[in-house]
Amino acid sequence: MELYIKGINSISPVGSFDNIDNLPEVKLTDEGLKYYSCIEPAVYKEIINPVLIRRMSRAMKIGIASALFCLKDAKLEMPDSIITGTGLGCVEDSDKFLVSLIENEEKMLNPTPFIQSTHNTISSQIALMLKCHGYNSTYAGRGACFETAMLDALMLISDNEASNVLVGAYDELIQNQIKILYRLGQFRNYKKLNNISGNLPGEGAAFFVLSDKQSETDYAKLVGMEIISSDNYLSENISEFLNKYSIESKNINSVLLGVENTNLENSNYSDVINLFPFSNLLWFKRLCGEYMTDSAFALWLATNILKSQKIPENIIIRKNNTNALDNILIVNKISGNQTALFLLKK
Amino acid sequence: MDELIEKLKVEIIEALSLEEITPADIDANAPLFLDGLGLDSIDALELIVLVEKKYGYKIQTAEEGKTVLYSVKSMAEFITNRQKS
Repeated sequence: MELYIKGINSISPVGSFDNIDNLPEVKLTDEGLKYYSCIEPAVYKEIINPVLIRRMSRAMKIGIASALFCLKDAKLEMPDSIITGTGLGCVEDSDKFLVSLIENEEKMLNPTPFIQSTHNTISSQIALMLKCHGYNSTYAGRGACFETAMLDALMLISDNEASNVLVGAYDELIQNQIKILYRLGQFRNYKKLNNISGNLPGEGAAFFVLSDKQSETDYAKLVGMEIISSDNYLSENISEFLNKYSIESKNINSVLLGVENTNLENSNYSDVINLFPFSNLLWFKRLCGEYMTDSAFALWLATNILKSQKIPENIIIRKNNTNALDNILIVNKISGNQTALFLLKK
Repeated sequence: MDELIEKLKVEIIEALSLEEITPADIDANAPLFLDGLGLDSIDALELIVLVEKKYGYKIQTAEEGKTVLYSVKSMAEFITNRQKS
């Protein structure tokens, strides 16, 4: 089933909140360890009750603001359902709660961080603010959580249980997490000379209104999506995925890859690159870093490219195709051996 | 008592992240909930933790909580009375 993307919004390290045209080079934050951090909008108080804002962590602010502005963009007051995906949820609140648990020897714990540390805080808070009593769900499956949220939306709409679904994802970075994940070797060790394998950490929130009804103002059409659960035969799996939607790899205009550095030949994507000799190759993690729900940023970027018919210069790895931008394939390695695929058409 | 009231105002602002409020904005006699600072039930829990953590006195029942947490002055009176006993 095809879904139409009616509204979008993203808060990311590229400052993508207002406009996609002329995306600037992203400056890395360097506090002993490098990472991509969100440029937050200065409009929280215009859309969120100040009594609620004072308790909100950064994840809550970026998630809720992105969701509300997405609805505004779609000119939709009330979605039928709200579905979110998050790798680690409101990790700042979890961190505060756990630190306090240790420091206070499990006594006299402040309730706010505990209450807000659950993964479904944001989707439920959006529902409370909108007074939306429809289906509300949060997926916290590490790397595949945004993709699972999207699949849930797709199933809801194909079963005629919803017509307009607000789907989104958010993940925030906190200092303890950055230190631990670097120590575990999850990100590129940029301090080691000539080490160009892996990506640097990032964060962000992105939301979409998906609908079964086409209109002239749609951003793009989501033709298909899939989570491939094996690294073996990746290019064969991608070809099969494209066959399902009757499109050949030579007809893919642009491929948006989940990479942040230039070492493509030695990356997990080398087979994928060989599959698309006639396509533009683009990378998106140079704008947002790597995080568990970064596919949502990729979807936001691809949707914007199709709508504006412009590719920001700083995401082009190879420009091979000067035809009209009528489709984009997102290929993003997520946790473990999984790869997420999204096929979008104008 | 006045010194304790001023100290409590600062601690309440910090504990409840009342970013745009200064101690001078808080009327020590005004109700903390609904009309006054407009605090809610989560704030009440935070204030109970504050009194116990900073001063070592536990608010035992919901009824006692209503009286103690009525205003900054009533909180200061509760702490002062406990310190005397």
